Amino acid sequence: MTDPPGRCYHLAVPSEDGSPTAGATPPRSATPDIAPEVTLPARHVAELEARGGSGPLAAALRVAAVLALLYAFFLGLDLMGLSFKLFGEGMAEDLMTRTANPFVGLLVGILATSLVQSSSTTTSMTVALVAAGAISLEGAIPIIMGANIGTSVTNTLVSLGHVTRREEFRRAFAGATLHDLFNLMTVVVLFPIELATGYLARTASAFERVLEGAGGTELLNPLKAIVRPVAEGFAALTGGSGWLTLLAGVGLLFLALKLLVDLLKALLTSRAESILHRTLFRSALAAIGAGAAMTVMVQSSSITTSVMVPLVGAGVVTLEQLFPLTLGANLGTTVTAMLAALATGNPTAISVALAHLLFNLTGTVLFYPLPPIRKIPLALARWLGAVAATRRWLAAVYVALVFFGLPLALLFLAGGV
Amino acid sequence: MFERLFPSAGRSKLIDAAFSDVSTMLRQSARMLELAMGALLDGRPLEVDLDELDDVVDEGERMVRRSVLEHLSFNPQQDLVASLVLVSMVQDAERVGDFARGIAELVPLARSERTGPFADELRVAAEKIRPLFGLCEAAFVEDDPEKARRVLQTYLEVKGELLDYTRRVAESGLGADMAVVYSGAARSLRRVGAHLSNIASSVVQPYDRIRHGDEEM
Repeated sequence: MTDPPGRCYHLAVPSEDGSPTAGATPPRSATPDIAPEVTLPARHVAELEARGGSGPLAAALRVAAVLALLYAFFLGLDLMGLSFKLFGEGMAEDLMTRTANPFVGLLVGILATSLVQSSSTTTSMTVALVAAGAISLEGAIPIIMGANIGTSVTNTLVSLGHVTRREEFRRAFAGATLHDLFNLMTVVVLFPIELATGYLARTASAFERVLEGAGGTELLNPLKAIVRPVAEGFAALTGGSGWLTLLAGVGLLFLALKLLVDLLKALLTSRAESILHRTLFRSALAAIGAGAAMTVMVQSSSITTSVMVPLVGAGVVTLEQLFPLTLGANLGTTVTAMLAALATGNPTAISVALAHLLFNLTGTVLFYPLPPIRKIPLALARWLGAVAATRRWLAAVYVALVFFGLPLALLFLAGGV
Repeated sequence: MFERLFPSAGRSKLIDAAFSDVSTMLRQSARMLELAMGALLDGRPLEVDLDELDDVVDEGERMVRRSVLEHLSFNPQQDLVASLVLVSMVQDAERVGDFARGIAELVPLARSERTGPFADELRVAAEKIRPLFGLCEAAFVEDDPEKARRVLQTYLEVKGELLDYTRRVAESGLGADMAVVYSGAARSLRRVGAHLSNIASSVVQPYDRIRHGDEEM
């Protein structure tokens, strides 16, 4: 009696160089061989496809919905930029003065992002304000750094949902705070470096000039032709009111981004699931790629990192496996700011978006490749998880303080309020 | 909101993969049972390590749990019941493999040839159980209530026969070794049928009544 044709699962799957990769996702079995009376569920698959909206009309509607929301997003950006023109130079100068203090910018970035739970919203608005001349590049970078910290509030809140089961909560909270800690540590390192050397601002500006020379900054220029007339029409309707135009711009940008994220999540969840399932246990690079890809697909790093919390809580994913995916999510989220910046076509705004990318890239290079350094946020996250598991009220205190209480208090002290 | 406006084209790919994993587990277990019964009743040597085959079944359970958890982390609303059913039924699929292996463990206990009416009856029972694997797999994966009911019906018949068989083995004058072998094998076959019946019940029963008999039967 012969062995079954190929094992259905492998406990170790050979990697590309032939060495076994323990814990890698095993390949799936191909076709039936033992139960001849079983028919493959081809009919079932066909029925499933017929049941759902998979025809050309449904696909067209999906594309139209995404395009409409993207249009609304770009319109919101343009309205914000237009509002500052309507205000005149005084408002822009006032805002420029207020955000000149980098600490204020950092704290505003943390608070604003924690409140709206979207770094993409904060960074997009920052890009719009830079394009309008209301914030300088040097003033915007601390806000971007703060947005990176603030965005991790979402997955930390998600981890609180596991609070009733101690060991699960310990793991989930550690997984969530790994993101917080990485972002905090990156800011702790790069914020003073930026103040002292302008590393991010200078490097981003240099890249922007290269991009501009290659014509890359004009990719979305044609957008202006279809967005600007509508924005100006709206401004005219408000009687040239800067405040109404600003409110409309902020509201539209926020709503469009929120709906876009919801729509993309609804449309692309299955694909994102598959990417995660195939790549998470393969290699760090694959996980970084998966984190970035998933975040770009759904336009939200919060979603990417939040869906991992139950997996970490259940013990299916370790902190070591989660870390590179988190880094990838940080990188992927910079796409939104880049899109917003390219839509404005403003060189300084594009530099801000590049600085955002550079900030996350630098953090990744600083904290991931060398094992002794990589272990620092991992060890801290485990410690936080252990502490929170034994005194679960501390977890709520942590969230309240790190994302809201401390930034608000410090903002008050810095005179930003 | 958008999940209702734009319903997905079909089941989650991860859930589809999990159903496929359960199929594979059932086929692997069917093979294990075939090998074990062949060794027990016909004296055929086991040319494969059943522990290794059982490892594959166990790995399948792990993959199903992981796939379901990953899917529910992303989208708890889509395929929620299917996800819960999978997690529930994968335990039954895993247990089938264990019982098949248990039958093979009885072989060294038998000091006599497995011939005579008791051996023949066990063969007949095994032949009734064998096609239930394919039916159960088809019922579960294709969501086919007719096939599911056939599994449930067949199991009810075989269950009664095997219970009666065990009683007669106990009342017979068989030696202790053969009584243990025949009654142990009968019990294991009955348990295999029970777990296949549990899996089939998930197709025809409301979620909270899975593992109970079909209300229409």
